[in-house]
Amino acid sequence: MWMSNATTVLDADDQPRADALFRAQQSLIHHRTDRLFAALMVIQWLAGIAAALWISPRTWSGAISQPHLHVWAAILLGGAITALPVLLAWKRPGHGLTRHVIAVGQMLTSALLIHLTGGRIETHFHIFGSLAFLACYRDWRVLCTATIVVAADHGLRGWLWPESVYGVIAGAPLRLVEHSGWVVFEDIFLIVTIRQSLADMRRNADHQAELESTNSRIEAEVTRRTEELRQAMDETARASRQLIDANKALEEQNKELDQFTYVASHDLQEPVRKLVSFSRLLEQDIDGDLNEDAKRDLQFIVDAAKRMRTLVQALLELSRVGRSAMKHDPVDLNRCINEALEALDLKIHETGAVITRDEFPVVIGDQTMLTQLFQNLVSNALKFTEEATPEIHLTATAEDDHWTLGVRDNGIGMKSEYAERIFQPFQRLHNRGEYEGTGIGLSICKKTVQRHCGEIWVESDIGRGAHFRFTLPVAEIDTPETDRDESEPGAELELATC
Amino acid sequence: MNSRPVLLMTFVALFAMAAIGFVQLTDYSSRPGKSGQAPLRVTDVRLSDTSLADAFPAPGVPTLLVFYHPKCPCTVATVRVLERLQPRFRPKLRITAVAYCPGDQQDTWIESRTTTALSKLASSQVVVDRGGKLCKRFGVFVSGQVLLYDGEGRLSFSGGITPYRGHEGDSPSSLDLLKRINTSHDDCGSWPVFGCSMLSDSERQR
Repeated sequence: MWMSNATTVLDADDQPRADALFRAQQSLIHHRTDRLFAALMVIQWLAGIAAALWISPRTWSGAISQPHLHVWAAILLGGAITALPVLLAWKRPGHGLTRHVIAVGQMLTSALLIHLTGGRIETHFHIFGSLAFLACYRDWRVLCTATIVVAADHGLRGWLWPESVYGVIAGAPLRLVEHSGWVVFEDIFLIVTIRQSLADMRRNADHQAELESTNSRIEAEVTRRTEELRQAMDETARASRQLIDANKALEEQNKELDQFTYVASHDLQEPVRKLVSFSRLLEQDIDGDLNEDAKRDLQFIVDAAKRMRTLVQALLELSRVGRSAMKHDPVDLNRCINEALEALDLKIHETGAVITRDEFPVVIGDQTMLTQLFQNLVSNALKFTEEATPEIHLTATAEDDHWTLGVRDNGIGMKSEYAERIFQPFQRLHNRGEYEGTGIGLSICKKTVQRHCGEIWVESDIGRGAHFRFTLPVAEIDTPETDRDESEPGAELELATC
Repeated sequence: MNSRPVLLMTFVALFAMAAIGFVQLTDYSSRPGKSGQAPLRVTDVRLSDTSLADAFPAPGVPTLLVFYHPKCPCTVATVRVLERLQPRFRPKLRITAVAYCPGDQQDTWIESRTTTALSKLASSQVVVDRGGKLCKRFGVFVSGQVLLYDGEGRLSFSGGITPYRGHEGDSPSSLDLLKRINTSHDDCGSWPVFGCSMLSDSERQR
């Protein structure tokens, strides 16, 4: 086998595959060329018969004629020469013996055609054409076989019937060398070409093997990573399911807790109310009969009972905000703010607060809850002030898909680390003596905002006031053109809800 | 079933057939026909009652008589050899093609590729030899035989000018003919003739 001079350096693992590809390509070429020669030889056989019938159809003896021997030779001898190569090409395509028999048959066909055409020099080109055609096998041994047949034919006939080959009786050995020399001359070029072609095939096989190896590695890597991704997705889906389950459980627990809070606060109202009432009655009944210490203790009981009642009511309010049925109507926040400020009118006059406001939008929500929200926040701003006159500004900023609303004051402010804590129930940053309240107001605000699909937070620092901010989704108002009446303030709007 | 023995037998049989066929073909093609003795002098032949009566005598002009069977495919090679040799003829030469024609056939019977090619040779004429009378008088029994008579009517060359039956190309006989046309020789060159029989057996016996 010709060795490749390819520059490709293959891995040891790829070499067998490259060899297999090279052999497969060779086999393909051998099969294909076998089929071509089978067809060619049949055509040549028919052409030989046609030539015999045209050139020398009959042999004559005076006026009497009979079919010429060339006709029988074209049919029978040509058939015998053609039969075996065609048979092998049909039965054993690609086999080494087949192409060597084809080479022999092709060269004998050349000899027959030359004979049938009367030794025309033009017909001798058939030999050289056949050699070139045999080179299609890309097997130099086939050319050797063909050349040996040509040399043997010339040698044998040159020895027995020299004039039939060379036209002369003398000098046959030299003519044999001359005739064979021309054939070998062509063989050399064809063999060089075959060698280069085989080298190209070898290079292509090496490249193909290398490419297949690379593709296999890539496919394996893709498969591995796909499997990893699938596992990760399965893990994520499992975690997601667990999270959903946990959320459901949490929601259930929250509902149970809300239910418990509501029931507890509701049922506690009655005993607490009685405790307060009877504490007062007791205070009235024994008024003057108690010494100072007893009076003070009784007062503590009364105050504690009142405070308990306040806390129970606040807790009940917080529970109601979380549990009560919520409307999803278009709500003009300007109206909510007006109502909140009216409710706080007395406090505002007492503190001399200056309240300014932006233009507020229409949102989707529960008007009562939103009014309470603003009332709580403004009340908060009025409460946590020192000597300075409260200056409160109600802010409204349009964002991409929501509104950011807020209440900014110039009060005492707070440390930023308490920003989360103040929204928890009963969390207070000051003593009850400093600032009144239950510590439940901001929790109600947070619950209200959350039920409106928003978030609430505070931006503040000590001595720099506080800016309570919360978001509400933009109301998507879809007004049917046929029913819209812009002049009617109470026109019904179809609004999206969160 | 194992096909190897069958294949081997087929191979041997076909190879043997091919070998035998080539041997037979080569033997047939290299076997010359029977030829008789041509008259050494043209004056020895009675021509007055033949189509060659006008051709002889032609003092000082060599004459090449080409006897051929119009239907013989092998003679085409003889014509081709003549076509190649003719430009190399130095002296003036008359070429007379004697076409065999059966006695019971019209003259148109001789029309063939060979006749057309011979008539196109320079200084050539075609005469019909009805019944093979001339062939017998000149002792010619094989198509493609060439007789060269020099300007004095002496036989200088007798035989075929192809190396092989129906094969064209240079051969010792054709080169000998060329030499004898271009230069005078005292002896007569004799060569085998390859071609069809000019006469049928009955015509030959008559």
